[in-house]
Amino acid sequence: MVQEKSRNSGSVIPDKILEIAFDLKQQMIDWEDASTIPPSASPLLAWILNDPNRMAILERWQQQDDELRSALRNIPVPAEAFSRSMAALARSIKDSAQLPSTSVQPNLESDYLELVDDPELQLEPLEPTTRTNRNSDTVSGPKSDRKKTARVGNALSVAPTPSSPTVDWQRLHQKYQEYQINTPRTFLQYCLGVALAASLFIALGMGVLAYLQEKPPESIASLAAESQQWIDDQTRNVVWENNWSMFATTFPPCDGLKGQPQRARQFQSRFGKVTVFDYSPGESRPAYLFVVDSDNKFQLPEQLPVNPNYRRDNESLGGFLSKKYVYLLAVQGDTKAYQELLTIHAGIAN
Amino acid sequence: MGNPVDTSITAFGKLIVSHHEALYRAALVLSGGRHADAEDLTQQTLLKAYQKREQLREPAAAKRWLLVIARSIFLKNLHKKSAQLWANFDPADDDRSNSADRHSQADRTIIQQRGADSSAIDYPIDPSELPQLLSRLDDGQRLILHLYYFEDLSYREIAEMLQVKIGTVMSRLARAKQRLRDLAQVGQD
Repeated sequence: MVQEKSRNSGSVIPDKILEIAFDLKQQMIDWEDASTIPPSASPLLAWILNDPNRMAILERWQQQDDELRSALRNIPVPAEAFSRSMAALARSIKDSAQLPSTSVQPNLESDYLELVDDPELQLEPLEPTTRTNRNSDTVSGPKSDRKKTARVGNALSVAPTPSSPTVDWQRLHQKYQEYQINTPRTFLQYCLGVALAASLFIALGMGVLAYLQEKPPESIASLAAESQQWIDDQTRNVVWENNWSMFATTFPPCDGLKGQPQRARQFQSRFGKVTVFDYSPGESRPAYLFVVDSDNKFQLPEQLPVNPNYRRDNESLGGFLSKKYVYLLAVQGDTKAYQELLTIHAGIAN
Repeated sequence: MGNPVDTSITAFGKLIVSHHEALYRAALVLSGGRHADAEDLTQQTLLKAYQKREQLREPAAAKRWLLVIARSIFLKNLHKKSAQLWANFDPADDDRSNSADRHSQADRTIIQQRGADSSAIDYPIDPSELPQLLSRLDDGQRLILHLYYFEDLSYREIAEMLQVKIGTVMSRLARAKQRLRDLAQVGQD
């Protein structure tokens, strides 16, 4: 890195640092509060903001940036560029009308521009007030550079320039609308139009439905709350199996689990077949372990994150993938005790 | 829900009147300061905009819309995608110490002089001289100037668009700006 001194100052600040600082300063506008500032950026910001000299240098960089922006946005535009652009536009559209067309419907836009030559139109010159702030002394480049625009010059005969007749846009538009109204459409065109509209409507509706159904959770905390709520809803009115010897053979828990669940339940959910083990001891709050067929695992993250585990105060949510099952742990209560109770073999967990 | 955009040719004419100068300047930057090429690019942009005018949903975004079309045509004319302009970019180039190697011998001399006299004053850039200065920048440098100064994209947005690191954008933009200043200084010396 070049230890280049910053311009207009005696301070030695590498330009690279100034670039980063400048970018940070730009981004500060987007940072709503200090908590959103990346930790890596904080020391550098503090280093700059706490020193008036460094701030002055940064301001100078800002000024240079503004100066260049201003210069670029004030490059003199040749006086004739506008008329040439308009002429070329009219010419291009007109030329496109002369190409052989295989479409059923004529190129209305092109036909419409043909009206430029319509003697019935009361063509009016462009109002000079529409193009102000022009520097007619501006050099637009050597004449040799203008070869590419030679074809543009041909268009001047039919296109608007300050000294030649121009298009009455309003009247052309009216004629265009009349043309559209008076042009009968074929039955096939109507069918295609209806089909296209129906397809778009259905696609839009499906998109909206998908969005509403797949609305992502706002945060990991809400994710945990939603998941816990889902667990509670699914198990609220079910009949639990309390006979360990029976459900241990029907739907055995993961081999690595140390603790023995006090009850279990199996049911169908939109995630597929779900087995729920309740590991909560006694009257304490429930600690559920879910086992879901891994074929459905890709539907899970929306509500039930597998990794990383979430844990806050008395809430815990997490899981692991083992063999063909996804195990998900949802706990409310003494999460530490539950985690110890449900310790998994190292080779299986996560 | 806002009012539908007026797609009449009258409205399109007004749109051109309002934004032609900004579009031309952006085209001039992309075209390396060559007025003939800038005119061609401007005209191609206006024709494309006319054909696609129904896609403009927000009148306030008309200027940005035109600039994006101009950039798209510029890249198409180069037969390149934006990322390809950066294909030859050396990651080590992020280090400003290598920047002089990419400059011409004349530019290198300037930089060496600047290094010897770090208190040298900044030379303001005359807008009328910019076309000539822009001709000394490569396509990628002019593209990034366009994205940053005309389309008003942030470093992050440019990085995402070009699929490069944000540091690369910063470095590349800084180098383009510095080169413009150096060239302007040569002109005034």
